[in-house]
Amino acid sequence: MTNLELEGLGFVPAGPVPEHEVTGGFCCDLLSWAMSRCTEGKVWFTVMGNINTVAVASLADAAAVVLCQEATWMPDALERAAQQGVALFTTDLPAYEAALVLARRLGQL
Amino acid sequence: MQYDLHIHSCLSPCADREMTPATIAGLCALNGADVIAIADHNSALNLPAAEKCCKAYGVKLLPALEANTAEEIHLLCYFPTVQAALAMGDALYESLPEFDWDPAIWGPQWVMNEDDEIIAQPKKLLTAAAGLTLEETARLCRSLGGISVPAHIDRDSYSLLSVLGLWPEEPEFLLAELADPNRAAALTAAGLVPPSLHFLTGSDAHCLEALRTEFPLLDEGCPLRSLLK
Repeated sequence: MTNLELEGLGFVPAGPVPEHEVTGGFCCDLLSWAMSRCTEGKVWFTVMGNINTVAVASLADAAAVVLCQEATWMPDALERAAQQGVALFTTDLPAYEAALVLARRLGQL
Repeated sequence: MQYDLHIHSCLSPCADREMTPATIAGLCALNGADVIAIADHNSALNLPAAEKCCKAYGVKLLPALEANTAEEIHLLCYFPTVQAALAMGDALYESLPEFDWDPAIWGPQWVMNEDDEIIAQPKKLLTAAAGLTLEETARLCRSLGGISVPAHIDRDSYSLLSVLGLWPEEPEFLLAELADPNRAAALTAAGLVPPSLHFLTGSDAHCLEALRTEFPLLDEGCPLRSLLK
């Protein structure tokens, strides 16, 4: 699947969604931790809507970042994501449940 | 100027009860400090007592607190006056979450007077993350005439680098605190901090035994000197 399908799964795009192949999911809120562990094609579930989240997602070549549980993206994060081609989404679901939605679609359950 | 600009008093629930403003001021003066800062989590309520005690013992107090931002980054905030620190503390307290907490688990929070008497106990847990982001906290500190300093950036928890991973372009920080001052060169060489950054090192003492007996010297060019005039 690609990240274009995430909207159909109930995740709300927070900006442009440049197409990217999805290889799996990743959950983490600590950016220093995510920097060395989030890998290419992952849909990253977090509550950290800081501009640095976008930088880490860009470095990792993540497929998308889903901000969970009604957390909000900072305006500069949205701007940077649009510049760097990082697809951002939001959801009301907690990270665990959001990850389950993706896992079901990927046939990982 | 010998300093320790990161000491917790018994207002911080995680600190020992012996850490009263009077005891801290007395011991630091005895140990040879020229300037100290009591920087409690999200609150400056022990600074009025600390100011009186420091004056009595002949040690300079730099008014301070240690904010815990919405991202759970510890940000030391230093101010020209106790009043400015109290105003920042009020704003942080207002933004702290309301939830029932048990002092038996988290530790009590004592506001003291200069005679070592408990005069108040704040209702909200002061170590919780405030509702203000790093940027909002830094901006509020600056608007009150203060200077904010990311705390113990070389630690794995509650530090700017551990939470954000990269040094932010905004807000601009002039200084950062290191738990281990020897790490400054490596952090700068690795490009993890801006080359122009000044460094402090604080004891982050939560108990009497952790109070310094030997102090680092405040650099001539340290931006915090502007608050000490």
